[in-house]
Amino acid sequence: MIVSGAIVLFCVVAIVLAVAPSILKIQEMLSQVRDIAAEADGLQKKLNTLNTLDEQTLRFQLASVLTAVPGDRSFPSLFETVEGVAARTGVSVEQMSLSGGTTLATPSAAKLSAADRKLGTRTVPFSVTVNGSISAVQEFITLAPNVRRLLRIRTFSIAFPPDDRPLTVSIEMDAFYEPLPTSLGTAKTILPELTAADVAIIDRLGNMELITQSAEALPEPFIGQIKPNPFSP
Amino acid sequence: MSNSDINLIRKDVSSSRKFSVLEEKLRLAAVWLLGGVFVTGIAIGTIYLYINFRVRSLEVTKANLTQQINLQSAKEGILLSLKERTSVAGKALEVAKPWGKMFTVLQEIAAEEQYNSLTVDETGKVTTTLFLGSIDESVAIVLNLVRLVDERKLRTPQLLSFSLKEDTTVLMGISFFPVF
Repeated sequence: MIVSGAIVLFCVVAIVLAVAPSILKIQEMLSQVRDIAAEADGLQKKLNTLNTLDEQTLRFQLASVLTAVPGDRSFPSLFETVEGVAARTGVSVEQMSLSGGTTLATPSAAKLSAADRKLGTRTVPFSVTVNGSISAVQEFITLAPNVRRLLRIRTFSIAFPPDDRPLTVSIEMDAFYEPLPTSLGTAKTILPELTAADVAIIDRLGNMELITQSAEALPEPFIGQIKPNPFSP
Repeated sequence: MSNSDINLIRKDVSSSRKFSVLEEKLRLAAVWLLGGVFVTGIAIGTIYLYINFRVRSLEVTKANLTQQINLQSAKEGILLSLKERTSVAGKALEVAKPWGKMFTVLQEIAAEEQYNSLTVDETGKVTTTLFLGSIDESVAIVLNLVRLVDERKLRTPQLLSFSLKEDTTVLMGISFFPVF
């Protein structure tokens, strides 16, 4: 009788102190397994996607898109593009100046201006004054936003002279740029997917005329690399 | 001697039997409980070992996958840059208006020599002043504007100023929004 009672008591204590917590622990571990399995599944999908991507094609596409939207303000390509468009359309550039305060901070450190925040992109505002016939001016205004260094005409004003002198056009424009990313997320960060719309944009940019001769080479990937001299530019 | 004396012995016998039954039941319960705890313990142990093995196996798989993904970080970086840049390019293309098309509309409003000045502001409003030889020419301009509105080539035209000079020439200021 006493032995049986002790066994029953032992069993009850075992159920309360060992079996029940073990079941809870197993439930917790099952949840952990589900989470890890989901993570592993996500990683596998990411790896599969990465394996299907051709690095050379991506590099070529990025190089093409970088000529349209460079990683910094790229003033040389900006001036070259405007001059190239002017030369192509037969207008002469009378004056060209950068408008607004251009910060000397690195592009990634520079804060977005109110106008840029509204647009959702970073821009270099500048103004250009050109002279030419009305057809040349029309061509300039048509071609400028359609070359592979994306420019936007914000405002413009045309003075029509009473005689046969060429028209003078003052144009306020924006050139677009976007700093390159300096860090990647963790391995489990979801890989961005190039949608059909993205591919259409890449194709459209690829078909745009590249006016600048000195197309920027694709920069070496600096993600994960440490500069030997942190003070070097 | 009464019958009750005999029943006292019977009562003791009954109590002993009940105790015996209770003891038997307790022993049975103890056996079942012990067996149950033992089987459950074995089952829990097995499940624990299996899950532990599964966790370790998944952790190893995850580590391998992470390593393989990290080896392709350059590709991932390029894809990330491409995606961001494409998004910016999309916005840039969206906000860039095809102002070149406006010149066709301008030619339909008036002849080149009739224009004095033209301004396009950030809202897309075109404001222009025209030098016209006569009131008839200004009427023709207004009719052209009305026609172009009907043809949905421009919207909200406004007559901003109108001045008639002694030599019957007209200086007219108009504004409108071209429709692209």
